[in-house]
Amino acid sequence: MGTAPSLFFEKAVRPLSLRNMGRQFWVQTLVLVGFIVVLYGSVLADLAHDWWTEPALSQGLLIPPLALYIGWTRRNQTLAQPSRPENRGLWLVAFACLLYLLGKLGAEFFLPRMSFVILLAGLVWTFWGYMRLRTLTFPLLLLATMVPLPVIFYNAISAPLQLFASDMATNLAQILGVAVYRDGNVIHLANISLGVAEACSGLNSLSALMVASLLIGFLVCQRAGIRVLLFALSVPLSIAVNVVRVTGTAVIADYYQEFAMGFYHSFSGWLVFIGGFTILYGIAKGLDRLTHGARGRAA
Amino acid sequence: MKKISFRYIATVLLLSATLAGYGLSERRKPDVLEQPLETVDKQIAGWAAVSDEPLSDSVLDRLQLTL
Repeated sequence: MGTAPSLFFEKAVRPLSLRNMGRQFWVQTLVLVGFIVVLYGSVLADLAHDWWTEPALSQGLLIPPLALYIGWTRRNQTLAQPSRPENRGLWLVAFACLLYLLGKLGAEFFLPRMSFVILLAGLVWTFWGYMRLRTLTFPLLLLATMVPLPVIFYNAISAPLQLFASDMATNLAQILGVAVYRDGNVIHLANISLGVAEACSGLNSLSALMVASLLIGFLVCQRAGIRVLLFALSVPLSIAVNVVRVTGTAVIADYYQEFAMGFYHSFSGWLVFIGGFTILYGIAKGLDRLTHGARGRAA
Repeated sequence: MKKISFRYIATVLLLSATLAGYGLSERRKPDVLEQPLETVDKQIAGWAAVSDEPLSDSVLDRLQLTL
């Protein structure tokens, strides 16, 4: 009994050598991969098509290679954990299968796509164990952000966000001395009226900044609590930077319509993302320094 | 040859059941419209239909239209 843990540890830290795996391992792996390809081939092809054709979702193209890269860089941490296959992981596999079927029966895209990530997590848990799954939490979480929000959710929050951005931008423009009034999501200026369209609701920058907050949290912050806080902050921040964008368009349009509706309108999307990213990075750095300082004083 | 684990068999069974469920769902009998869409009134409860928004190919494929 006393020697068991050390034997287990020796087995766990042994480098994973694919050449040492027997024929049975490869056959079993191929069968599982075959099932995944048949079930998810069209689901993932549809997803890739959306990334390619929808500019608002194009960040999804970067996420799978990034998640793979992060998983690969953490391979020593993952393989240093003992491999303890667990039957409990089967519940997660079953849950993923159920989500897949529900999505297919309902002709819905979000559930089958998300079930792919859950299935991967379930397979890791089942065949490698919970400890190894824990080391892969971040890459899997990042992979989950490749799936666009469900349309029903998008439609439900885009209209209130459009109205909020219009209202806030009108108030801010008035404070800045611009003669402006709002009618629904239309901002009326002296010489031009601006419609705050669905694309200007801030939802597009929201998904991009949520992914950015995960990456910044992973790269900059040590503590899980700060990473969660950073992720939560990305939501109000993206709404706020979008309000600044719409306000900027209204104020500039009052003086220089062509510039506001041309170059600025296209460029400000990038500007908003870079601004939001910089603020998030600053917050992450500040919080990390604060917690390090507090920990240093406590020590 | 090593014995195949319960976990592996259970995983394969779950994935097989999912595949079978998916296959069955794809074979559902398409419903037939009660009446042609053209006969539906363009004015309903104060709302007026102004255009017929075309659906993309991927959506039409997913809906499996019955003409």
